[in-house]
Amino acid sequence: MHCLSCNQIIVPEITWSNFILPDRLSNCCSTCSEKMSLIHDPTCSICGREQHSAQKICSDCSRWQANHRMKNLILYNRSVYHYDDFIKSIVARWKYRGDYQLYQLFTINFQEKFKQYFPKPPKPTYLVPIPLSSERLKHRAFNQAEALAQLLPYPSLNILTRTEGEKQSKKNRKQRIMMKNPFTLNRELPAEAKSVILIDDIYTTGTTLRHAATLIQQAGCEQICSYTLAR
Amino acid sequence: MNKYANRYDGRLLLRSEISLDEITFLQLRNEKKFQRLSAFIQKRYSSQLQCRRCGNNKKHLLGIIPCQACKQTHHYCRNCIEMGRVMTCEPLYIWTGPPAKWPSQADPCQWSGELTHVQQRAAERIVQAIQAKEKELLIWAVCGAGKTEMLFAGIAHAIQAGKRVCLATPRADVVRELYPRFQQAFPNTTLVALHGGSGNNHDTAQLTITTTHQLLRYQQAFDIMIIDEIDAFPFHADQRLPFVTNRSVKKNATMLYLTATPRKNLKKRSNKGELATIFVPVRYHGQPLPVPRLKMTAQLARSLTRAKLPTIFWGWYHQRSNPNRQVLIFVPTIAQANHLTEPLQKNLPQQTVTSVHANDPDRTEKVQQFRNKQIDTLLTTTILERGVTFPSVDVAVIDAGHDVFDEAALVQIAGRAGRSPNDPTGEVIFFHQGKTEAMLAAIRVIKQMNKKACVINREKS
Repeated sequence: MHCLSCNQIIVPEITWSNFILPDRLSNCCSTCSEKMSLIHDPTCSICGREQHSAQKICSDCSRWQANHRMKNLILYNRSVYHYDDFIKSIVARWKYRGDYQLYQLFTINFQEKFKQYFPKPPKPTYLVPIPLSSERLKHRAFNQAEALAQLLPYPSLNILTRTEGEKQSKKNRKQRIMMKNPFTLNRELPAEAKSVILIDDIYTTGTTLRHAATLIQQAGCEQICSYTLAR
Repeated sequence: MNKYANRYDGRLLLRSEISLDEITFLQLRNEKKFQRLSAFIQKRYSSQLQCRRCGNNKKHLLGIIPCQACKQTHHYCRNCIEMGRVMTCEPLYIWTGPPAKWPSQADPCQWSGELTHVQQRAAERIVQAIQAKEKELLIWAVCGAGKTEMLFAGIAHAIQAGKRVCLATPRADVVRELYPRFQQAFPNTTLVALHGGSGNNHDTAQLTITTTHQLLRYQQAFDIMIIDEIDAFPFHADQRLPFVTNRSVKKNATMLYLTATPRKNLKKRSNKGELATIFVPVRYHGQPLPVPRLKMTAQLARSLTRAKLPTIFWGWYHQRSNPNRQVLIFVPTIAQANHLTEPLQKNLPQQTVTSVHANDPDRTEKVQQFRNKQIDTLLTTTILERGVTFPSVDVAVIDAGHDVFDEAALVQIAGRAGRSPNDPTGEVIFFHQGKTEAMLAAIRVIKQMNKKACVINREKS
């Protein structure tokens, strides 16, 4: 097997433990997986950013909490990796170059961390991947959030539609927060849905996820969390 | 129509790389000026797919994507994805309209320098090959022979005949270095320099200087293809690059290979007489190549683990014939370059010592500083083995028996010394713990070249 990131052949090291209990096969070599830095505790209790101060929530989140409309809209967000230069370069290759299969680099960590962060979600729980606008989807040929959602053992619902033109990544923080809600609901939420987990690739300011959450809350779901690849 | 022909003839492009609006494009398609080609080639009786653009047929580099644009699950090429994604529903286009026409010129070459006797001989042979439309010619020229100047006459001939010429090299720095020189030599010819970061990768011209990777976007474009340093990484390591180069030339094109250290297969064909070869065994200043000395160093491994240079090295260092020369020290690994810098600086307190390697962000600045003599001693990995010229250096290789120092590398490293006519000699010394075949072969090749040079000089006088 070859590493998806660096194309080196992966030679698994045989030890007594994996001789008896084989490891899960990974598409990522050990050098590359060391470079992808996981977020460890302690984290901000809302956005899941790693922080070592005494506060429970980070400064960004306390600003969100001050806004009465947005307050507690998302119960909590959790992310797998730090959004550092290495993850940035992989995500850029994945999303912008369109190397679809790179999502397999994250499979194991994305699944393990999900189990850790969402140990017992109420049943039934649905995943809602953040959509792309139709033009962007046609250009990219895949939706990265959907690719991530299909790694998780819950049904995903494509109930949101995105109507926007400009690229988000080209905006600054203020522009992003002031943005109009780019989503519309294209279908009703199933009535039995108690809990929804939004799935996206990157949590930057949290605006996108909160926009999506607003609509889902209006549709009648109370417990909304989000899970992203990087923060 | 000629405008489009000059822009698109010989190119293999994705629709997104053709900067025409949809209406013009459709019109040209209807007029059969563009032909559509499938993104992947499937050989008969084989299930293996091959990317039409980069020639990749490795399974792990052919991705599978559930495409939401065409609602089918199909392949895409991961190998050349840096240059835009090729996938089954994203075909490639070639120009099938009238061929490109370049303005005719009576005397395109404005270069006024003079060639030495040996260079002249090679230049004439190149012109002959181009005129007779020979298929291949190997130009086996030693480091510092003045290869670029030898090409000018041949290129001028081709341009006069309205042919399209490409000079491909594995490295982007070489493209950047050659561009101004060609601009001066051929001021009235359309000229374009292509490399990953050049930003003008959709320009076309009669004379193209490019990295081998950029040839991915060409198909049957060139009449003359000159491949510089054909033995260098990544050209010889990546089998797809020869595929791309061969595709980018026209059917009866002339291929010229330039190298100082041909690899086995070329050497074999040359020795058998299958590949026409012209030797340029003399440097442009006429002095013989410095022959490396071997120095057995029993304590080498021990001193290296202690991050020290062996005592024998210091013995050599202090007894050099010309202590004013700068010193270039090659080490096999990046780790050793980093470890040895500090102790070396301690031993040479009055001098500036630094190290450079491929992952070094200040690489270009450091090389420039060394060239300006702001640095006295430079520790380097094999990245400086070729393509760089320092006027007056002595060269030492630490642990020359290491695998990274193959025959080609050692010959190139030895070729760094004695480049300037003001100081045409220089010392080259290999510190080793047992001779390897590579060291002996390198010395043998250098001596052979010097012998050939003697013969040529004798013929002349």
